[in-house]
Amino acid sequence: MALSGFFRKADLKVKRDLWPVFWRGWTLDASWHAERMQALGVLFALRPLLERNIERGVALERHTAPFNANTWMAPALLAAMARLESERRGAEAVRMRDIVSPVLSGIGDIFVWSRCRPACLVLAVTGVLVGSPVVGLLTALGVYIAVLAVHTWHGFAAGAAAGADLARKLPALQPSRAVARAAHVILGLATGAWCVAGGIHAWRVAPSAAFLLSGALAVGYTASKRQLPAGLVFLGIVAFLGVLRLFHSPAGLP
Amino acid sequence: MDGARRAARRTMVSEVPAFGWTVLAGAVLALDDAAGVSLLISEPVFAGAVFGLLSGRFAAGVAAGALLQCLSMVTLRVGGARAPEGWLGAAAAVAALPPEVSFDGLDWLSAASLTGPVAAGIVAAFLGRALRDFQRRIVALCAGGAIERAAAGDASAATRLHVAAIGAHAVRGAASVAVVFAMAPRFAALVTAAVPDVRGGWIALGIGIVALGRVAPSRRRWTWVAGAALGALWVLS
Repeated sequence: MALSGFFRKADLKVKRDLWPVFWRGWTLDASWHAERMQALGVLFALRPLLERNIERGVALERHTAPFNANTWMAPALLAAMARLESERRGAEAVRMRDIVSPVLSGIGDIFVWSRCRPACLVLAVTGVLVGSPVVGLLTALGVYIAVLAVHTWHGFAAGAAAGADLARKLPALQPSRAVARAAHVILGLATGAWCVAGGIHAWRVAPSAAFLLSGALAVGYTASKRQLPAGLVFLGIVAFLGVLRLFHSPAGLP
Repeated sequence: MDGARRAARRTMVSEVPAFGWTVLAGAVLALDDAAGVSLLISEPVFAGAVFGLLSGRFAAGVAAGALLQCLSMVTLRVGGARAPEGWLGAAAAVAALPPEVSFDGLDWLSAASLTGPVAAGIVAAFLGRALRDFQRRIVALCAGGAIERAAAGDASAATRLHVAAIGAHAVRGAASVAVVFAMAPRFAALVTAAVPDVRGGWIALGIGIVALGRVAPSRRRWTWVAGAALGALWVLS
């Protein structure tokens, strides 16, 4: 299923006065800070609508609370809030925001950060490794932007259509299962292919290169279990080899 | 400052290729990374391609970016967690790339001269993250007053602060890429001098495989086996 049933049924004709919310919501993270996170971004996105409210002060105050949402899922939430504000149902917008935001973000975080994005990056890097960087980069970029555009716009349209019912429509707001499955397959294929192709090629180049690769696999696995940043692991291995180099061995170092 | 040192410094600055385009790329990539919905172009492999293209060494830039990408394949930017600035790392790696490396086939993974640039890239990425966090602390300092005014019915200060934050990301990106292009070659040279024979490409690939294995589905092991078969076929053919 390319998109959930709700997306297909949703009225995709979003009211013109909600469009600025979509574009302004694109920069939600720009003023992110630890105290209120994306609150300034929400004010920026909703401001054109809130300023038209008769009770402007109350409407603005409602949206000064801390807000944090996955940027892929935020358009759905912003659209629902904007619709409720434009219908003078601001209190419902706040209640809906507090209920829906964490759940929606949880769904988005898994899809974006551990499925879609790594899969597209794998396509790009695989293109580089097989000697077709332009094809790899363009394919990855095209797929990612297509999924992002479809997902955010349909989420926005669905949010605008659902309004206060967004909480009940949550299962339908889930990202496409087909895309998640495809990302899974790409990740699995790449894991096997990189491991075997890298191992064989390293062995052909020099046994010491294969030793380095397998050492990095072992150290990297241990470090990743302890949530150590990969960059620091790389620097640690290089520093360790630098120290070993001080004690020259007849066999030499890889 | 004597004439030779002044000339050397001038040479370092003038080495920034296509200066205007490079800092513009830095601004755009910083915005993509920090300002909102990312279009993926701020990931190291894409940033490496951009800076490589601007330096006239596309293949080298892509290769350096791919190695850094292996080290940041999976980043969970959840809540307040923010990853190191991979795009700035790619800029540093491209700036520090040695001219003599060939990028045919997979042999470049064995080039020991890539270790220094990749190390410079990692350090630059972490420094970039520190700078971005500093900017966010400044926004937090200014946000209190803006939020109070918004709560009182005037959202103009909040809007101005948000727009200023967007501008600050762009300026930070432009400035940091200029600094990195000037400084990274020196740092990479130090690393290369300390570890002249370490083949960092294979280390980065190994760490990248581990990162992939952590997010690849354990329920679909057949994909791993199929991938292994494809990889073996590709190398042996």
